[in-house]
Amino acid sequence: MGEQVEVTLTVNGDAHEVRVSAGETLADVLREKLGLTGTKVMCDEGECGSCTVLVNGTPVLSCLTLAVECQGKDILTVEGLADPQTGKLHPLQQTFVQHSGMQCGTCTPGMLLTAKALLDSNASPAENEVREALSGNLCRCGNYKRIVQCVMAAADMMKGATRN
Amino acid sequence: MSRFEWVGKSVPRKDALEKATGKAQFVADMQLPGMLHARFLRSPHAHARIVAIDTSKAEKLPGVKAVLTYRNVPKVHPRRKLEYLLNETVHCAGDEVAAVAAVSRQIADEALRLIDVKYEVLPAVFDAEEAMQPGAPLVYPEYGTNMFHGSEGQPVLRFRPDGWLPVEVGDVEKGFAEADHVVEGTYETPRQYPCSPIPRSVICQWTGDKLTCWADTQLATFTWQDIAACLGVPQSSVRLIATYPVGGYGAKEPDKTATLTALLAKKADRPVKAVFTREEDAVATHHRPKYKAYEKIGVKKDGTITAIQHRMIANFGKDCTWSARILACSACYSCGMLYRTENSRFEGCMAITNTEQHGPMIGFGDPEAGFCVERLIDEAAERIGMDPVQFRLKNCLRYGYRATTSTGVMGRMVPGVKPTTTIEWGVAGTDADALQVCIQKAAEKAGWKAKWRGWKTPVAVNGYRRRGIGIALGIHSSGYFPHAAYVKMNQDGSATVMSSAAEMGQGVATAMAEVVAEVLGVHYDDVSVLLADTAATPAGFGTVASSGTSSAITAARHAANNARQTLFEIAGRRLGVKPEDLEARNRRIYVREKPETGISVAEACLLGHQVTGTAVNPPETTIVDEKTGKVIYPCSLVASIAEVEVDTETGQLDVLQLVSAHDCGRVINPTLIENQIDLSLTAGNGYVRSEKLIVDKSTGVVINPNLLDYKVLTFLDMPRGNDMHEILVEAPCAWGPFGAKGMSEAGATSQAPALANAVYNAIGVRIRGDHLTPERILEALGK
Amino acid sequence: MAKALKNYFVPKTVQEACSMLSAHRGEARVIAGGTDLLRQIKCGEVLPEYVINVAAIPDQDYITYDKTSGLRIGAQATAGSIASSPPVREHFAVLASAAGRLGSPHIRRRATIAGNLCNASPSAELYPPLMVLGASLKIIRAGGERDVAVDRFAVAPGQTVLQPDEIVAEVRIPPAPARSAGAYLTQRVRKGEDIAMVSVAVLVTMDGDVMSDLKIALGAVAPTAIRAPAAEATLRGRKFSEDLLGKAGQAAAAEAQPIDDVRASAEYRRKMVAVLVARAVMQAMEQVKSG
Repeated sequence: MGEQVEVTLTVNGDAHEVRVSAGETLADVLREKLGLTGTKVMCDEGECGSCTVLVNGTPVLSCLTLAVECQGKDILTVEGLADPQTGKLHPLQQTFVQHSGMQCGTCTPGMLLTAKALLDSNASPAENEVREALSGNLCRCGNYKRIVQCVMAAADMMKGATRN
Repeated sequence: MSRFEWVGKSVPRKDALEKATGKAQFVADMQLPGMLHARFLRSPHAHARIVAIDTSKAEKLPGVKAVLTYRNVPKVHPRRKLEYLLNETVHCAGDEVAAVAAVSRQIADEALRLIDVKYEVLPAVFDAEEAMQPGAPLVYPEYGTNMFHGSEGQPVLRFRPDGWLPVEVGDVEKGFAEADHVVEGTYETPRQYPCSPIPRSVICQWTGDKLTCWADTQLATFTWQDIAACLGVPQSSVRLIATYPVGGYGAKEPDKTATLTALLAKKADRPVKAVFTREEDAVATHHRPKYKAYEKIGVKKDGTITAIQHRMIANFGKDCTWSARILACSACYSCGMLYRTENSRFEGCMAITNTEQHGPMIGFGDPEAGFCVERLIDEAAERIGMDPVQFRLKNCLRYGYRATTSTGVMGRMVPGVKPTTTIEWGVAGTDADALQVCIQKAAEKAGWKAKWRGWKTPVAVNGYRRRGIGIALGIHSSGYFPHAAYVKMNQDGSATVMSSAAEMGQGVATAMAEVVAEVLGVHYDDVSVLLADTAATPAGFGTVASSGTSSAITAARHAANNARQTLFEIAGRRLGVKPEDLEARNRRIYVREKPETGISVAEACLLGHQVTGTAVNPPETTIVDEKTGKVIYPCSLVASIAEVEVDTETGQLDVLQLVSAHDCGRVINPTLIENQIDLSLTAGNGYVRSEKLIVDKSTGVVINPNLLDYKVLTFLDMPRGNDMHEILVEAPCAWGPFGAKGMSEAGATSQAPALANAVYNAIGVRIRGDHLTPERILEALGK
Repeated sequence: MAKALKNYFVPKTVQEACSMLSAHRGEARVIAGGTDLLRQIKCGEVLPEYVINVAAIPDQDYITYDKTSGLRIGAQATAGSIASSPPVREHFAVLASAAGRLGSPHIRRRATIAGNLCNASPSAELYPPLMVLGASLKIIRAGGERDVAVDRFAVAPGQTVLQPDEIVAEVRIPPAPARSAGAYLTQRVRKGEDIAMVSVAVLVTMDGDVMSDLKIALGAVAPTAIRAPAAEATLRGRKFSEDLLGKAGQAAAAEAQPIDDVRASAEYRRKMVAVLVARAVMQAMEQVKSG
């Protein structure tokens, strides 16, 4: 099975010491060792984006990332997207809930995290920029139009919050 | 004030918060203490007999707890299919040969490599028409033919002895003789992989002789009953829970996987989890069947259809859990009802082949048939030089036209009643007139009048780029099946509704809560929905055939009515009025004429100690049209218009605009309906534009069972938000709750032909084959 | 699942990485972004015992430009950073364009230039533009280094001239000729992430109305990306005409050696080479004229 390595992963602000084998992916460790099953695996080969998590703020396909690569890095999964202090949902979560930005819900965590990274770097994306940024995230339920609306609405909400 | 408090409102989904916070647990996410992992050994051959199988090395591998082969599992037919749970003869590449449960997936995989199998490779056949030839290899020699005609477990009464399923009305030959023009065409449709976002997953745990099974199934009742039947135990010994069978699209039906996992768990005496890999899901669940259709239509110059004839051949694959129902659906809806003519003939057959079994996928027979029929209709309109919108308006289904269901087409078996083999035609209800409204609204929104410049004239030509527009209609069942529901009132006035419907993402839990809240006069948030747990929820057909609203929620509405009746009796006694004088709204029960006199719903619940409502849907034969006295058979309808641009040098197809107008009966939740429409449009586009499942012609092996090469459309492949128009047309139907109907799948029927007809308008060449990929378009252009 | 891996090394320098490669000659694979290697491991296409992750080696993701020496791209510069790099976009737009079409945004954030080249897929997006730009690779091993032209680097699908103890350190592109412009076009099924059925890169240099030099490279139509010398010769030193463009396309189609596979037929690929070469040359030429 290969040698086990001890890695420290900071996930949603909590440090976890985990023993992993060299070949274990971040997706497997999050889901099976840390019980963070909000990260969904659809294709398991980097084609669908559903397993996207943020590593040091950047969207990463956790099924194509080795857990050992994430030693000492900050990982954000969908479980950590709401405000850790208040529990208040992230604006993206709020708009996805309010406007039904999901159907089956498999792509939702990956969409939310990819969209968060977009809004963190571009507060007022145009529709085309949202579509382009999310183009590596498949939604088999075909909810693309609604998801774009939710991301744009969240951008508006975040800008409003900044203004106030 | 609106008549309704909840119906018609886009309230947030019941599961939205769970899904947006990562807390929604799918079966694949669950872990039980001591849980083992199952893996399956699959046949590399499309047709082979297992001459010898040695599992001893695998069994000795540390960590392996159970191994199953055909020799130590019950010899039963899962879901009453042709095959057994595990077979001595495998019938397609990917068929299960053995199952292993081990402490980890890695050890289970290692065990599979240690199983020694000797196969005698048998001749195989993959193409439907080849399978129908005399002398073709028989997939099941014991069945005697490759023409599927039902089985003991799944009888289809109306198959002819030659294996064809006929539906004939009037005199087709006479109709063709009366026609000014007869148009014929041979069309093909593709095989499609449902590609649920989460591959098949099942967990089984035994406690003594009681089994709990968590399964991603749309058909909780059927899967549960089948597990019990295969294991030979009472249904009360099996509890099946299907909380989130995510992304159904017809794919979620674990048939034998659930039973095999239960057997592994029994043998190992530990919980066992089976989760398919993406590749397994692509080759070992089921596919939408490929059709070949020989079509013929007679038309008069004025646009009257004098006769229509369909001869459809479907590739059955190695098996199906649904007997011939998909073919029967094609016969009933797209071929039997969508267009009116006195003379109509359908003949369909299903050829058994050594390919993966076929099964349901969004539209269930209608996208397959509709893709053929709607291309033929377009050709007929062109032959008489009539605008294709006008031709459809003139001939499309209307109120009072003959109607039936797939069950009618197959022949009815009711326990204790003599089987019916003649089709008892009913009628389409007044709601069918919504189709004309759909056509008009879609044409208006798409700017048809301005863009349609006549046959053989593209919308625009810009160098090698040509723009075209096309229309197609779609139809599907709005499934009205036996379904039951319980409404359990709590003493604080809140309610829990229980149903065997499954929440796959379509939003059935949300719409059900809206309807129940409406009936009981309570708040949407007061209603909890418990779905698909056979220990608690009552029997029901499952969530298939666009039946969630029209069957499951109908039952929930009746159950809520039943509970409300009890509440009104209690309140009536308290208030000294008759129950029929009461109304419920805003969590109060009050006298209609004296609204200030009333009690809270909570008080009535408390007084009643335990108020419950139960209901089973009234039989479909009780829903009768007043004017004709005939049974109204349900359907849902759609008109779609596509505008496309074709690069005539590369064959590249860009979809510029999609307009789709849907007959919804009554809208319960507009946002959920729009989302379901977008699903049907996207899946319908993928069906012909990009999703190409390739079965190797010489080996029968699927060569692209992955999302790299099985291409699901992305954000950038569907039109932008302003260029996708979902139009909701309301015409209350006779069977659904408040006139609402199941509408989710019809949209997948009209997409492929709307695109094909638009491509024709752009390039002037008809594509009668299965795909509209760049390569096929260029081929059609003769370049 | 990639769990058969035995060990995982994180060298701090390129030299250290080379020593590790040398110590586990043939049994180790270098991983950077992992977008290709992990997929291959999961599919069982490769099963290395050791993985050497070079991602932690500092300062390997640079992109620097100098008017006289040209562009230098560190081995670990990602497709995304190349696509958005101002000097690349300004001086080597054909490369920026190809890098921007590689995989999905997720993949582009991870996939490195060296990884794309070393993986040597016939459809690898970065080969055609680098070939027309005359790029070369700086290759390092313990105690030595060498330069290899990008056209000589890949030898077969998945195979390069890289020795088991060598590592790609840098990609160098000479300054683009004056009055030149490039274009990169692909044919694919989806507009979103997809693998090209055919890709074409061209670099056109103009002298007045004459195409004084032409470089044309084709992807996904041969075991490796290839140049199309006959097509180049058809156009070199000539004035533009529709007819000539058609001939160049035909010449390139004849030079392609496509196969039938799951993504397209050989016949379709050949036709697309002709169309895309003509369009790419046209586009590049107009670019020069307008620029």
